[in-house]
Amino acid sequence: MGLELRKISKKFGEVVALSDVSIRIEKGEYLVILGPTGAGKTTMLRVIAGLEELDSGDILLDDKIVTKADPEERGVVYLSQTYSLFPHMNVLENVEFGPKVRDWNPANRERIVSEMLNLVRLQDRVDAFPHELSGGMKQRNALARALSTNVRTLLLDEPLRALDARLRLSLRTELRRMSKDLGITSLHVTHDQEEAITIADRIVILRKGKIVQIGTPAEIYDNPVSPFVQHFVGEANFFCGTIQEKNEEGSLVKCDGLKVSATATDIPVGSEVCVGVKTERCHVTRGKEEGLNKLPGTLERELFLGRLSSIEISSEYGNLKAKVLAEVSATMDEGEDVTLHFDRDQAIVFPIPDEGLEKELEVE
Amino acid sequence: MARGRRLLEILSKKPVRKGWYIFVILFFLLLILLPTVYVLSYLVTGWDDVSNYVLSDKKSSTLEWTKSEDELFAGYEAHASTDPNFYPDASTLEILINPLSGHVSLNTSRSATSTIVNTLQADQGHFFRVLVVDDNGLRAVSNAMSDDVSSQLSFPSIIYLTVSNISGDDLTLNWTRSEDLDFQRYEVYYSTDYGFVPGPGNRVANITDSQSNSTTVFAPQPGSHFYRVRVVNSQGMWAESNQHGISSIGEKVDSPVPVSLQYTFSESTLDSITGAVTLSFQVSVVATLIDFVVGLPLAWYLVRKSPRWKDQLNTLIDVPLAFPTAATGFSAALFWGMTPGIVDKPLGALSITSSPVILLTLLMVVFSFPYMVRPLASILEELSVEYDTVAGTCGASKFTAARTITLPLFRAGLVTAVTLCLAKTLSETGGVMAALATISSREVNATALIGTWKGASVFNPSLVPGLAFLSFLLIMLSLTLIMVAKFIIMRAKLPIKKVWPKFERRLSRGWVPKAKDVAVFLFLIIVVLLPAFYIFGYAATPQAQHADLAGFWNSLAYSFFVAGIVTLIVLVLGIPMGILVARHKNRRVASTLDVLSNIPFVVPTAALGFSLGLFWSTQSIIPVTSEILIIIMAHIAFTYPYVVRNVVGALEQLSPEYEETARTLGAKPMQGFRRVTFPLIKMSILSGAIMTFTRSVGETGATIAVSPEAITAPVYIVSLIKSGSYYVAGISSAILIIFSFIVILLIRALIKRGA
Amino acid sequence: MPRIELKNVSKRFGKIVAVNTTNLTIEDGEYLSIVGPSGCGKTTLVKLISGVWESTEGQILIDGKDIANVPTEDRDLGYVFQGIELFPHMTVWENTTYAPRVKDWPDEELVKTGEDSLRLVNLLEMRETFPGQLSGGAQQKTGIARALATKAKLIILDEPLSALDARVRIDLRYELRRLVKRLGLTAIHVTHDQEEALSVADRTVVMKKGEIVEIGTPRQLYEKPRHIFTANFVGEGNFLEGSVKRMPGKWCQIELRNEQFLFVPPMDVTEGDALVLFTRPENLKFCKDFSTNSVPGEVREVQFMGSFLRYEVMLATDDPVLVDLPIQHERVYAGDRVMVEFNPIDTLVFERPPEGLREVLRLE
Repeated sequence: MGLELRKISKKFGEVVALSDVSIRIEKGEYLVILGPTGAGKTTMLRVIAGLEELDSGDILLDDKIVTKADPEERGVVYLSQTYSLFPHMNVLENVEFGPKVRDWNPANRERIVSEMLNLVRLQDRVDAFPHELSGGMKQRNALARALSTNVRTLLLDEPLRALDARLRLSLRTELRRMSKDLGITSLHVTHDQEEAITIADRIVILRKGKIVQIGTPAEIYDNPVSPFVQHFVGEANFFCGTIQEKNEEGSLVKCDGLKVSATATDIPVGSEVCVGVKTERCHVTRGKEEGLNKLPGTLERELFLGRLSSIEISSEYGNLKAKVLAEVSATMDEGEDVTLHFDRDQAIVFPIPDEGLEKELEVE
Repeated sequence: MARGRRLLEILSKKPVRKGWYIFVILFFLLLILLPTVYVLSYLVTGWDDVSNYVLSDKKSSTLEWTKSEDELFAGYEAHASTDPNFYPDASTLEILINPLSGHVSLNTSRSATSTIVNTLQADQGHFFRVLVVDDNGLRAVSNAMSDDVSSQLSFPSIIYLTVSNISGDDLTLNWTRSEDLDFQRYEVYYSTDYGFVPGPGNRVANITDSQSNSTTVFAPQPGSHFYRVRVVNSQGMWAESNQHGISSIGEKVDSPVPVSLQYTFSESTLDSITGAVTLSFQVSVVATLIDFVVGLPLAWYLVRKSPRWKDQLNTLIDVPLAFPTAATGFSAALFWGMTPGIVDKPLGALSITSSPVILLTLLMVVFSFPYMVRPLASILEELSVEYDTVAGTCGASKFTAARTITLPLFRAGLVTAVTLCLAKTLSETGGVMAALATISSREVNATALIGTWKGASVFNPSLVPGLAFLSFLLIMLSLTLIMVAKFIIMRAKLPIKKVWPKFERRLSRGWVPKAKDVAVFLFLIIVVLLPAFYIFGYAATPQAQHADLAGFWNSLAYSFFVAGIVTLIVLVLGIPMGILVARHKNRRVASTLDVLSNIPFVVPTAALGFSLGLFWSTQSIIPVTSEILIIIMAHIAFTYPYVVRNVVGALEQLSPEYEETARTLGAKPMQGFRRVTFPLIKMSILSGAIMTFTRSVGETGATIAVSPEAITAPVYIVSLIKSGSYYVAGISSAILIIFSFIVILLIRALIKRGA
Repeated sequence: MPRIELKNVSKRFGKIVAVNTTNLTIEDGEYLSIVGPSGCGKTTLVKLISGVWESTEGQILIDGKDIANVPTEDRDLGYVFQGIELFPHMTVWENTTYAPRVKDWPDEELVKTGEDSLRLVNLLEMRETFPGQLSGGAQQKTGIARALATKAKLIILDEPLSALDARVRIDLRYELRRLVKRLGLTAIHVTHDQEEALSVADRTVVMKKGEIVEIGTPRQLYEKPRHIFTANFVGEGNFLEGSVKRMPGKWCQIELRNEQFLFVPPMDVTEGDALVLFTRPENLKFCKDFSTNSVPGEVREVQFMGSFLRYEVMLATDDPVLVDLPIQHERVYAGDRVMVEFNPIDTLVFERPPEGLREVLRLE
């Protein structure tokens, strides 16, 4: 058993940062906490590290309650967004920090420090000071510093935010690999859904201090529990209407002159619902076509993303978006008639959110 | 190493840490803050005295006379009467100045050549005489002076009498000739009584020739014969010589030489308080305004143009911070002031003013200029340059951008700067006393008045209510002024809506900005630097080379001893307080401590010193009688905020993430502080320590307000100037400045090596 | 109308060359993006154009006129900043109307310009709000409105989205392009995010170490990069070192490490030339049998990427490659042996760089 949060809550004045959050995290798991700014992600890491006191609830590390323990007694290392490398120490001194304050014997200390420096490939830069290191090296230095303390749990607060976008792509998998190789439990906070999907064993979606969904990337991506999750983790198109009929295999939702064939649902026939389809799961073909789950319109704009293109279509059902392979979009021109379609399995039915769809989809 | 580690571990234990923090807070509240404002409580308990001595129709009369050099000197007596022709006796005695009455040394009594009489009715004119008394009980009466301006009376000056035994039974009396224009006659008094009082019964001769200066009298031997000679003018007013004669065994017996009463001035006590306070505030406000007008462009230049010699320029601007103010005050007064008693000033002195208001204002600008530039520069440094760029891309000229964007965002920094400047200028004592003495001005500001009265209160305890009232007033008005200034700065609506593009564009380009920069630099050089450095020129004059510096070295040692101890204690107590303020989880506790720890900042040090002295002499729980201890406590009180401020500022800049990361890496709180936080804020602590040291060495107000007997270096310099020893004062000032610099450099070097 | 020409422009800070002898022409109405790693000189370049800094050498012409002596405030451009830099003491309205105000436009015009600009970014109802109370996205929208209110026809976007959450970034970049095109502005958009650079622009400039590496349309840069740095920087890819074995007419045979061979289209090389083959992960496929253009390998890891799966394969040539395949593809698992098929059309060939492949591919 690695780490367990039992109904933890934390308020700053009137602002709720965490509300009744419970999770069990297995030893060696790579857990990503994903949510928009202000969701309480950082607070969650800070209470686990012991840097903030809880209002209520318990934190267990290896089945022991550590709610009241001092940070230095928890064996949990917190890495802030900027890595907080000690600016007055060089690479080596930073890595030595943990062993030194623990007063390990020098032989032992030297062994582990050089091991860690090798692991992060900084053995040639031991004399460099943090300001002389590139963003990626800083991150590796901070990792080595954390790992040299025999840490069991690593808390990473947006570890990739300070890096260039392209570098981020290369380094994100490296983080995961290192953590997995050393058998460390990692909690990685990010606001970047692509990053989350790529590296997580499981993702926790946090919003306004509450857990919205926990699951593997595939579960989160393909079986979102709410329109927010579906829209936040990759974009989605939404259609609101009422359920006309349904059976075990699927349902039929009528939305202003548009009939959408969607997945099966528990929601009774006649209820108001919204149906969401991920833009990456929509297809676009040339020419106008009518039919079930087919929405004709005009190609308004194409944004080239590399492998994919994002396409905006204006139709009588509103502005629609789709992400299609760039080679497909290459055959189409702006202003051309196109049809967007999707499979029934990709159209998920949700009850209308309490605060309305627009509020639900806000990402800030 | 291992022991150090165990110590850190013990210090890291929660109860130990808590206990230490509680000690620090209690020490601050009970032994720094409470004594600082203790004077407020005096106003409650001593209200009767205040209304009796201050708010009544009494006046305070200042008397100044020449110092007696008599070998058998025992004390002075100040006498007053409404009768111009009074002869001093027990009924006219106002103040006794002798070791017993002031619990001071004989030397202190001898040096106390001024006093303040504050028990006389304001609506009457008075006549004053000062007596010197010697060990034998012999007295010498000074000339008389009146504080009644309407009185048409004039008084002759004193003359000196010597007897010489020519032969047999004759004695020759010789006296110094009277220069009195209104001279009428000399009267010779004779008695066989050793302590006789001259009167009609023992007058033996009248001599009407003013040119006459001797006479021979019959004095059969053996026998005792004692004489005094009076000068009498046409109005019947007299001055008396010393008593001289021979005793029955034929020895010459001389009374002390009478001192010459040189100055009297009376004013209603309340008027003198309000006058001094008004002068203080006038000077403070005007100086702060000047600081702002010049400091802003200079700060701008430093930060935005970031010249290559920025570091050197910064050092130059900071120079007045390191200069002890008494030395600077003397220097600036020599430079600006018309100095009647001083000859041979080296080239360069402007000598253009004899007005205390103008001189003090110029002086305050020198003292407070860095306090304006520093905060303005640092807030500018923080304000993103990008704002200017944004404004530029929106079409705003540099002037428009500065006016509409940067200045409004400046308010917080401006509040700090103005608070510091006002506090500094209201608080300044040593420089003021030195400068006023240099131009022989009698007008005083509030802090100098506290200094004067406190000095006089040693022999005249009835001045204490006035001092308490004055201190109270000064503290309250300072706080009010600072709060009003803050309110105005934070609330004032700036006219930023309307823009005149063409006009403002013209201000932003071409010769206007250049002229502005040149003007600012000229100001810096002429108004701030030259006056501050002028003392070196004066100290280098040939006459100054022969100065006797023994007294100064003693005072310097005393000053450095006090400053060293103060710096140590303030560091030990101030760093934890800074940590509490910056890092306490409960923000309300933190901000309360923050506000409280800043109070000593805005309390003028002379008032603070007086309050502290009052506290230690009144409370009986901790018996502290040692003067040096109280002085150290006073210096701790007003320097405490420097260290706290610096630590808080550094910690607020420093992300708490470093400490937090250290702890999650396994460091105990004290280990984290020692290995991570301390090295990162070391330089701020160092500069706080240097500030503390230099402020302590340079402080005059708090020192003399605690004890007029403590001769720290700046106090000594002020007394030298007052007594007219200008060259010694000049050399001493120069040495004090140089030593302060050396110590600063030493501390810096030590800490750098430690790192 | 602004047409911007940079002629041999250089900028040096002391010894550091930030921009080195650069030539660039930006057409009227063009949306140009400049992308490159940190410190490549991209921000310096736009600061030279905006007049924040003066160039050390060369000429900058706007509509044929040298603007060397024109200060920033007279250059007639809008500027959107990475740090957003809203004036904190002014409301959204006051921020937006700052330019009209300092230019002392008549009141009606000021109000109209302000309202138009805020309407364009959908913030009209927030006009009395202070920046501190806005979300990051709304802040930057205000920043954009402020730049638009200058009514300049040239807008400079200096990393406008870097400070925002990933999800907000995506929404806002669509918005940016829409606005610029709708108003017919010329835009220069600086970013370190290759996906952002490709998605918003008509043309993209790739910079490295103060020099322009390549200029082209996004699609061209992604699909047919002319420079190996571009290939790597604008998206992930696979690089294999090899040399020309034979050139039997129609195809050119390349020998990879460990006696593996691939065919690529013919080109102007001679036998024995050292080359680097490049292909994007989505252009690789698995094939069952040995085919003419495939290399065997072993699957190391499978990653769920949302709309596709990513396989990390160690080829028999000791080169690790990424293969992106649609999810519907027949599943392959870690440890499986596969044949990786290279499509000769999509496989690009570069000369092997003299400084070594790793050096060229370094991102920091």
